[in-house]
Amino acid sequence: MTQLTEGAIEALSNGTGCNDAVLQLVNIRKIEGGNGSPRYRVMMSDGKHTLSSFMLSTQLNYMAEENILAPNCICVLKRHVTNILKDGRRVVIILEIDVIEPAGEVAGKLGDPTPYTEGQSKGPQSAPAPEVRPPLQPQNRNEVNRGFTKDFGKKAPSAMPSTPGGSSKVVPIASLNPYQSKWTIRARVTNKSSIRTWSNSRGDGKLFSMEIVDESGEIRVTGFNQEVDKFFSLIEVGKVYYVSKGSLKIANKQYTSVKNDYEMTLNGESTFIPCEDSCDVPIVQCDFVSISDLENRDKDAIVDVIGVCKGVEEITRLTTKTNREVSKRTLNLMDMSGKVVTVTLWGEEAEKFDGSGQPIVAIKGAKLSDFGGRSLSASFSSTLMINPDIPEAYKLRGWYDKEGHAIDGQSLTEMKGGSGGGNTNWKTLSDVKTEHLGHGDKADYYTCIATIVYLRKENCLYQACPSQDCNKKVVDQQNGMFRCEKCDKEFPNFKYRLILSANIADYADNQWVTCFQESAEAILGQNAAYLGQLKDSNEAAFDEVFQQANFNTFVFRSRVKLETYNDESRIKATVMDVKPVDHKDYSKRLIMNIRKLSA
Amino acid sequence: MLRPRKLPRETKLWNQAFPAQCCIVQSLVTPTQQVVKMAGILDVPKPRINCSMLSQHISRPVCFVGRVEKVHPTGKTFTVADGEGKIATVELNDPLEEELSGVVEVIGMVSNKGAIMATTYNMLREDKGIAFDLELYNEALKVIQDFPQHYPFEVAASG
Repeated sequence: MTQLTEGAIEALSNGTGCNDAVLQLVNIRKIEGGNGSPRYRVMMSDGKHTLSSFMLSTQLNYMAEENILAPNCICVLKRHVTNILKDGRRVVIILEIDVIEPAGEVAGKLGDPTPYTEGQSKGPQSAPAPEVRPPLQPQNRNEVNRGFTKDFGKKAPSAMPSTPGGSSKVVPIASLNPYQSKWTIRARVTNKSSIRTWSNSRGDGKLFSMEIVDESGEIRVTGFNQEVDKFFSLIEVGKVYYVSKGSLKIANKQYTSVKNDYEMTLNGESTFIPCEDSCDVPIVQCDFVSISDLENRDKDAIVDVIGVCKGVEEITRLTTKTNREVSKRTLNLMDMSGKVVTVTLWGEEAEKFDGSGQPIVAIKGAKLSDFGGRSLSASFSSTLMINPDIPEAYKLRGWYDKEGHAIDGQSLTEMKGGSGGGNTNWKTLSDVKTEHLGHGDKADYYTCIATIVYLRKENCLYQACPSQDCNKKVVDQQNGMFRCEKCDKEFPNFKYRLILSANIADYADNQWVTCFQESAEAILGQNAAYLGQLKDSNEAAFDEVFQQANFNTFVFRSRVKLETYNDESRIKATVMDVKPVDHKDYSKRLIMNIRKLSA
Repeated sequence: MLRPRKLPRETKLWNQAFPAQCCIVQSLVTPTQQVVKMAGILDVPKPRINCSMLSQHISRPVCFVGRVEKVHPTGKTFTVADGEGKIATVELNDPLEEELSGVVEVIGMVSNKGAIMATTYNMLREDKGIAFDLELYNEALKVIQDFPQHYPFEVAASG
């Protein structure tokens, strides 16, 4: 009789691994998989212990179907991988297994294995096993096998940690996984989104999503189409429900910031039963980041923050590119680190927000951006809580009343000058070439500090249509009238507009750029009409303007794009904005870059 | 101590480039004993320092920028605070003839007691231009100190 590798079960269960363990297959059970293909759950023994959390990898399903793997056969576990579930339990996935003694040749159960437990909540499972064993022991060995099979059969349904019927046995959210379908959880709804509709080539649909939380963790739940109708009005934020029979799948991290590897989808069988006893379930699960720490986080990270609202701005209305009007409001949040950050609220939240009395504001799932240094935005998936009922809020309130109100707070968001107002992407002129800016499909925008080294006086002015907002070049009809093709009209006059071609340089490289009206006027220090006049009347004065403008240093915000003109591709750079150099900001940036380089 | 005087417009640009040396122009106009001393210190590289660097520059010409704290009633000495908040004493040859306040740039020699024997000073007017950020200046000083290989002022001045 082949010897089983005693202690292998223990090793596999602990994750210490075991190569080529010789094990006896005690039982094998088919489980219907979610996506059609069946999975086989196997119980293996090493003579000392049995462990039922073995799963056969789908490529080996044939071994079960062809009865190669049958109860009692002795096998060698050649390759496996151990997965750890959310609740700490291990599942051993069998990737490669060799049968060294088929079931028929093995008399019965080898050894006297006991189920290996790691102290997990398999209460119902371990209870029957010791009970059954003692009476079986004196019996014939062959019967032991049958007894165990029966036992295993009994164990299997109770291994599914809840009984059909919902509310009796509740599992933690952290233990949910796609391999178990009969579960009930008790959780509080922390966030419910509004109904969103879409229509694409496959048709229309609507969905709503929410986040639910319990003591062990949180998970995102989405309901589509019919489930929207069924559950949307039923579910209220802040209430606790028993949820069961949702389908679990791997979380699509793109849509959620919730900390769970899986997310739940409601289907026809899902149930949501209100729960009366809700005191144990936490109100919200947050992993707050201190504001000073935000500087160290990457941009676009999703974070939870809590702080005192020091001040709030007025609501502003913006029109988005899709011509939708949206309200926006910014508020300043300060926490015990003494740092302040600006948070932007949108839509309804912006309108509802009341910042009077310096409330404690907690935001879950806020998006961190590098706008103006560091700032936060409350997106659709964020939850905003005013004076929440959580310990951190009380701590903050106490701190603020004692010391915080006196502190001015150092803001991470630069609002005045410097790098405020849009992401400043600082580059040197050589970077533009080395990084091939503008070579992609879209134009690239960057900011640089450079000095004007040459201004082209020739052809810097053109005659444009005098109508408001039309800058099209007009054609001189030679009869005192000027025709604009765009407006399809003739005018007796025109307005001069500037197109200035300039060469700007910094220590690294130089670049030809084009400046239109506003930037050109800023550089030359004169308006286009006056320049036009000078050009015609006083050549010397006109030249003088260009002389004076030369060798001045500015901050240029430019747009660069690869353009193809008659088979020739060239990088064209246009100046969007010209500003005088803010020496303080420049110095600060230089010092920061020097320190970064030397670190 | 030569008082900075209003100079003709044409030389204003030059003086912005070489602030300390504006005194040379004045020295050409009003030759005094000071000229010799002045020329001496002006030809020599004067590292910019703050209080913590004073001890390393004893008996050497330096340039110290700081905020005026207190002026002695005699007008012959005053204290300045640097970007780190530390105080240094400045001693003058002739008493002050004007009200001194705000940020000043003092050029002089460091005495063995750690005071600055000023040869000339330059008041950075707070009502003109952008306010001088002393803390930022201190940061820049530290950078210059930490990377002397990239800031070879000694070579540049004598070259």
